[in-house]
Amino acid sequence: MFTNIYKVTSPTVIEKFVDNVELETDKVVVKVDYMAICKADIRYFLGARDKNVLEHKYPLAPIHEAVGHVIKDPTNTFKKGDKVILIPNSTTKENLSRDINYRCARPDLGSNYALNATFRSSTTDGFLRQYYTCFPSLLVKYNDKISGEIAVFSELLSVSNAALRRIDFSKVKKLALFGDGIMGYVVYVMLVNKYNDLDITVFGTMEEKLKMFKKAKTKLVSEPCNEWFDTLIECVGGQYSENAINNMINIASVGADLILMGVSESKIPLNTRLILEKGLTIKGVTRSNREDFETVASLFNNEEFVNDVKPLVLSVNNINSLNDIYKCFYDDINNKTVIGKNIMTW
Amino acid sequence: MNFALILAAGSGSRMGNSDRPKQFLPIYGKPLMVHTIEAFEMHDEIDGVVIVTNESYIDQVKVWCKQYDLSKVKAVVAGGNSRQISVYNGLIALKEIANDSDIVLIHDAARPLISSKIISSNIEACKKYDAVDTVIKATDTIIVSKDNETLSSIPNRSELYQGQTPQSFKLCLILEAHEKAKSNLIPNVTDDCKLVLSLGKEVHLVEGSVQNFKITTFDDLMILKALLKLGKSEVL
Repeated sequence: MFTNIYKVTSPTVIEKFVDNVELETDKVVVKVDYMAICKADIRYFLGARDKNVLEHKYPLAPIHEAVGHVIKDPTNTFKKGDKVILIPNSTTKENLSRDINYRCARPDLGSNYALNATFRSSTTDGFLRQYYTCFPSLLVKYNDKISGEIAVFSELLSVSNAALRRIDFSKVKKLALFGDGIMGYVVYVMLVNKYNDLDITVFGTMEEKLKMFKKAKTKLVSEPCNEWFDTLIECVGGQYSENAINNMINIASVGADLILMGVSESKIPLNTRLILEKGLTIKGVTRSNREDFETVASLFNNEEFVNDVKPLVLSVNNINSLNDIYKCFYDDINNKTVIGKNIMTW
Repeated sequence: MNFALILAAGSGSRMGNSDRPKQFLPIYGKPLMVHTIEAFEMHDEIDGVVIVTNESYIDQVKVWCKQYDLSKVKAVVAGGNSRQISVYNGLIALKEIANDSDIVLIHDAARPLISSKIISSNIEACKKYDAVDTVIKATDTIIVSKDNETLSSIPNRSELYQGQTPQSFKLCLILEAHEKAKSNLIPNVTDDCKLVLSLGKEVHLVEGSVQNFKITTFDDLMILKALLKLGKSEVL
């Protein structure tokens, strides 16, 4: 079957391509219903990455946050019409068995860390398309009563869950969350829904955004802080990572764990003296694996969790033309003040 | 319910020396018409498909339906000497499995780039208006020449559209139109909407797409292959 796929071909240029979708006996056919734009998509769209990297990436279909429904499943894993979350990352057993990847077997890590794994909209084409075929292991069924415009946040939520897997919550007394953007918010949503008695303080730069973190204490980073935290999560990324991580190091208690989630394109200087003095542990978190997606899918059965995710939907936009796609990208790029995304649907 | 009636009975006379009609030419290892049928097979709102094809190809088409798991295909019937007769044969076969109020989307097998959006728009509009035509706005100036040598007139482009398929109707309406044409001995109308207009009924417009072009000549086939080749760009 022929269908369309939309690719970034050079900075700020998206083009429509015709794709031949092979219907194979071991793959599920999915109609993509809802798509959300990630910061990584925006970096590819704006060309805000190293030129040499971009030359190898373009043309590339963006979007790794998507949900759809099953059209046909020759493997009989799903029923026709089942609502599914699309898992963007995959790797092979051979890859996982390589020396460099052997620690992926640890439950706090997982296959999502395997080097040379493929990731949609980064190392292979993403989900900005109408139809998609994949192995059933790359789909997770979710509650069909949940609207796709909410379920489309599954990938982001699954990454939050991957971050939480790096933390031993039996040892957490005070947790600091840095970042009042969407990543910070979804980590907060996962925290309050999975560990509702945690002492959480969210650090941010905008009072309006901090108001969304209703179940946590909030603090502006510009205010002095005399408290100590044993677990600190960074969800800032970009050029502000440096300030955020060094602030975290300053207020970390001895032996604290620092979880880094924000992506920074450039190398940033850190206060290593203080890291050494306090004996801090820094852990990196990237992407998520199938189990994280399953956790999110089961959390969608919890009404309170769904209500916490709902405000992230800023708008739902029907995509009828390339211009509609551009509009969504620019709406997300220009949104600096509200936590949420402009969702695309066909 | 909504049914697709796929017209795959053309002779492909404009495809030059090919040994088979265009709808049977292989593209990416499968016949062109199979790509088209798959677009309807994969569409949630399509309940069944009837294929009208050349009599000598009926068995082959049935084999393809099994080979490519086209489970929505309910009948494969022989076409006639004209498009009008082929459509009528398909409608008669459809009448056996569908109700009067069901919707039928009549589509050329040689338009494989039909989008799910156009199929959805046809169904939605047909539920409301009973008869719809898929069109795109004319972008070139259209010239009328009555003697094929000199320009007779240039119609106002803002009123001109190019017709595509699907053309979609309530089954009872399109059957009535065809039966009336048959009884009035009108033999070779190439457009089903024209037959419905002759009943004094309105036909509403649905937006098509330039991409939904018909593979008629070798040049069209070349454009399709070029589009597909570009679309297969790999990413490191």
